[in-house]
Amino acid sequence: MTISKRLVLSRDNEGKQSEKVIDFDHPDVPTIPPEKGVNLKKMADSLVSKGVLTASEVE
Amino acid sequence: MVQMASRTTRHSQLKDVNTPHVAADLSEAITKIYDTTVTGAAVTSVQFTGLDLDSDGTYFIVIDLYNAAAGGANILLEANGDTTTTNYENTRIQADGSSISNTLFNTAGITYCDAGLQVVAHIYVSKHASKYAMGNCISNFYVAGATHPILWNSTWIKKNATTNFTSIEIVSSQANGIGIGSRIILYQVKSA
Repeated sequence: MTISKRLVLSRDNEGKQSEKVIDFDHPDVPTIPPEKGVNLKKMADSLVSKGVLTASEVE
Repeated sequence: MVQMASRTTRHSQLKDVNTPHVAADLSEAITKIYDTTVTGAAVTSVQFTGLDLDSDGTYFIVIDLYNAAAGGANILLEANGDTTTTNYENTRIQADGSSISNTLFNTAGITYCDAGLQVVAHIYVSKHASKYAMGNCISNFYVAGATHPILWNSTWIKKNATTNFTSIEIVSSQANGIGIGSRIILYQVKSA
């Protein structure tokens, strides 16, 4: 990961929120995007058309 | 013929609407600890310090992030500055329109924010002394070109760790992927 920034929040003795930005070297983490899911209705319709299930079983 | 039931109401069943009710006092149950909006420049992470999860019991975190980086980013939840992603684990259920999927990841990831887009997530993390910390995240985001939002519901754990959490960090997997205008709020929900 390139040089990046971390926003650090803390509270002082009086409870007041304070913020500071520091350099942050986080290890690389592979990004995992949303994946293509399964369309349950299409799958059920397919099973009905193949005779695996009856229509009433997937209602 | 249909026999109608009696609709007579006894006097004792009537509600007294003239007596003011005392509002529930939630001030000791839910307390806002931190509230920040990213300004000036994007950051990679936002770290909340000075926490005591064993004592507080539960934290509720609301994140409303804008990803200004060039690529899509996973949003990670890390504790005590532990950046070793394999020390965490999550199971995710994704609902995308009429399609669903579920996957186990050996990472600290809780949600996703596509490049130039937004994610809103509601996260709970609970822990009690000598016990493991466990969390859940419900999030809602769009991806480029989509016409409907995607739902991610993620479990989250820090593996084999019963130590108290004194800091919690929201991290983008893209450098400086938490853009200007992103807001993160952390509440203490007293449940210890």
